[in-house]
Amino acid sequence: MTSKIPIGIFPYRAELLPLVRNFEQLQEKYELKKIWTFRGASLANKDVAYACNHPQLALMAEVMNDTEDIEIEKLIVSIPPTMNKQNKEQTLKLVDRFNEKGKRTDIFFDDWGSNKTSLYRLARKHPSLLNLYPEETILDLHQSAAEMRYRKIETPIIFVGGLIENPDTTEIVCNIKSRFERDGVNCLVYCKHSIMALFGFHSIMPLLTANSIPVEQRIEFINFLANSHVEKKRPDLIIVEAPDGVLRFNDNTPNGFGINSYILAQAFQPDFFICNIPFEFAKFDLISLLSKDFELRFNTRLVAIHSSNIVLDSAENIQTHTLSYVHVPVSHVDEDLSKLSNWDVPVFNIIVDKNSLYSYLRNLLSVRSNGN
Amino acid sequence: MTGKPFIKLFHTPNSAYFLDVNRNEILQIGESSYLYLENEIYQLGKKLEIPTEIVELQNAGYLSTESNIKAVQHPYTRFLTEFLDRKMGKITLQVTQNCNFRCKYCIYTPKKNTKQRTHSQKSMSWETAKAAVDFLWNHSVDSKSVNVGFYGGEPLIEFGLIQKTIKYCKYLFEGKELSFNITCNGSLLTPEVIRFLSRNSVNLMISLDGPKNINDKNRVFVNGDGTFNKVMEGINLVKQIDPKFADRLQISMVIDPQNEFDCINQVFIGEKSINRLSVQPSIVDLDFSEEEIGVSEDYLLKNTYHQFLAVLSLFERFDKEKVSPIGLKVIESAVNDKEKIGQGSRLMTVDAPSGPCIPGQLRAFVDVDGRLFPCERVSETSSSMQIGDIYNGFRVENTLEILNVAQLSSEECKICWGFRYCNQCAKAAMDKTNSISAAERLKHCDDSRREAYHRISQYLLLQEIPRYYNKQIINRN
Repeated sequence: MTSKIPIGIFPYRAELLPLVRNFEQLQEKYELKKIWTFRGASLANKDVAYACNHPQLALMAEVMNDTEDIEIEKLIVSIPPTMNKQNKEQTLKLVDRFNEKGKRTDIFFDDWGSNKTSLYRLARKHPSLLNLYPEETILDLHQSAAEMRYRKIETPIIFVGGLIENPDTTEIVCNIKSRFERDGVNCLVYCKHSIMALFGFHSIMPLLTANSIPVEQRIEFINFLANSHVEKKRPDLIIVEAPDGVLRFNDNTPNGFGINSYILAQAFQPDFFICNIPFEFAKFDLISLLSKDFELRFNTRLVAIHSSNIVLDSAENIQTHTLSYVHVPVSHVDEDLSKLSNWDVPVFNIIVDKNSLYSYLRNLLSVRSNGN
Repeated sequence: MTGKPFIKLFHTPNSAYFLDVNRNEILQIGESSYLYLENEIYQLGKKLEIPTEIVELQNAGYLSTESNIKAVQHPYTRFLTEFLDRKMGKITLQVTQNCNFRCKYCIYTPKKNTKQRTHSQKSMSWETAKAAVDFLWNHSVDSKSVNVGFYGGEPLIEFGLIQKTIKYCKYLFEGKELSFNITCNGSLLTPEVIRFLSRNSVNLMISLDGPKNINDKNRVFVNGDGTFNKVMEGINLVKQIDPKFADRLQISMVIDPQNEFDCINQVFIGEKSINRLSVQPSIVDLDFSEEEIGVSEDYLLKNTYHQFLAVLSLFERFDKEKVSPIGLKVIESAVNDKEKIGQGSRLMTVDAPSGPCIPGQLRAFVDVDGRLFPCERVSETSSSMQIGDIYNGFRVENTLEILNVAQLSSEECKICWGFRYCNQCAKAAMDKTNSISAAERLKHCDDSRREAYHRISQYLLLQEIPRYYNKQIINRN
């Protein structure tokens, strides 16, 4: 048995909590030794779960002080679309320092629209030490365009999305993937963060946001990519994560209008939909409305809900037209869930109850495969 | 109709409307419906037949006679602790209580002040400033950005402390979006200060009340001399040293409405050295004084006229350069209101009037000793307004009391048509004993409703212009 490669991750933030939480379960190659964060993230010297006010994981986030004598062999860097120029420059300086010491770095970037000149310059400086991801490029697909044809994917597909973009959506994906795989179900996963490639997940963001390609063609590309993966990997189940909010929130806050989710739903034609909603919204009337809406919008059935521990900051919403929220203790979620009666669409809190959603889905899929 | 409908009527030169308070919707109605509702609300005793439109509206669930609200409580009461622990957005540091000006309306001047502290030589120590920044760091994990403000007295008296604090903030908040604000009197701006503020992208606001004769009436140095020349010297120095930074400069203009309107505006109209759009006007604050604000007839008439000119300029029918910044700001707010009015949710069974922010979360004011207040405008001598300190954290019971200040007047609030448009925070409820009281809060209700009425009227006007005056807009050339 080969030993695992010790790695560090930077910059840690709430979106990476699902990666950190499921790291041991969903990959075998690396050992997560260090979780570094920007000092300003207010996460240093705190348990990583503090980022989402979840129960502690006994893993601490730290600020990197020096690269000397660090026990890791590789630095994994995730550059989110929201990272500003100054932070990117600082991140690349840090990567350079690592590489200068002969240590390897993998950079996963999700900032598709930005100028990557300095990133490529650094990659040329350290060709044997620095890798850029994701590798799946649009060019590869252009080469295959001639043979491309839209085809319905026969494998069962679970679509996971949130009313509001928050890390719990990724957590749902990781949660069900790890449990299905543990039980021998081969899963193919499409995810919004390219860093999830560490778990073997595919990122569809480069295609989804390839604005130079007409949207109809993008749908065909994604469908073609998924079909080619299905042919190669023969999965039993496909899990697709919506990259942002699945619906327009209100007139002030378009929340992406749910466009990306719609594109994905057209490309994959999912069979089941799991929706992540703020726990305050877990009300019967609203869920009934959402269920009908999703059925029309995505041509798929809302089968389950995860109730997340976030409360919207409505004052900020009115002032900035953006959705921001505060993470409240998960006990609030449980308290409200205990008051809910049984509905057609079950509501879960996967942060506390890690197995019930999976058991429910497993049952749902077996019913489907039995043709009932 | 059985009982008075829970609505507010509006009439513009073109049409009639009502605000359905429970549903928070504004609906256009016919003249006969307006007259009928007016008769019902004000019990005019006219015998009028119920119009079909009213019957249809009632059938559709409008015009209910009872308020939806059964209890007054802010919706974030349950989550107050989490908002304070995790989502603070801004702190304003009172770096000094000292000032080289003695503005006659200043809330810190003993003569004008019965409920507020007075000027003193006290300044914030570095340890307190650092602890305040640490406090913000510890309470902002869910905030995407944070802001640190510097306030006084005159904050630039403590320029050294400001420099040190900004340097520390940039270290501590590395990786987070960070911005700075400073409100100063403009008299202590030197090339070194300006370059430092510009280099650190500090949003600079300078106080100036108008031309020399207006400004110097109230804004004077400790020795009584006028400050206008010195402040303009400072503004011109900013323009000379860093024109780009000067473009972002904001002017805080305190208006004494007893003065003539044209005089107040003189320095801003046709004056090239000040960008009029950066002027932030506000009426002199006499909340801590026993005096009342007097408004001259000239001010009232011309202010209204300039608001009219501002509306014309909005539709490119009048030169914006010739409009008072006071009028422009009012109409700018009305344009922003277009998105907000009628967009809020209907009244809920448990609800709270708009007005109070979450004290300490959106912003917190830290005085020289490290005590926390909801903002710089509240009394620092009131224990009710102190929401904690940076060493021991928030006092949740005080913060809750401020958040739910409307519970003092819950019976009146439940049936008030201005519930969704209320502008009263806890500051307005401070009585002579520096405590918050229902009686004091209720004194401000008429003003609040008047302002709400004005806001909605302006909203209706802006809605109507493209509908009723489209021809004039299109043919403007």
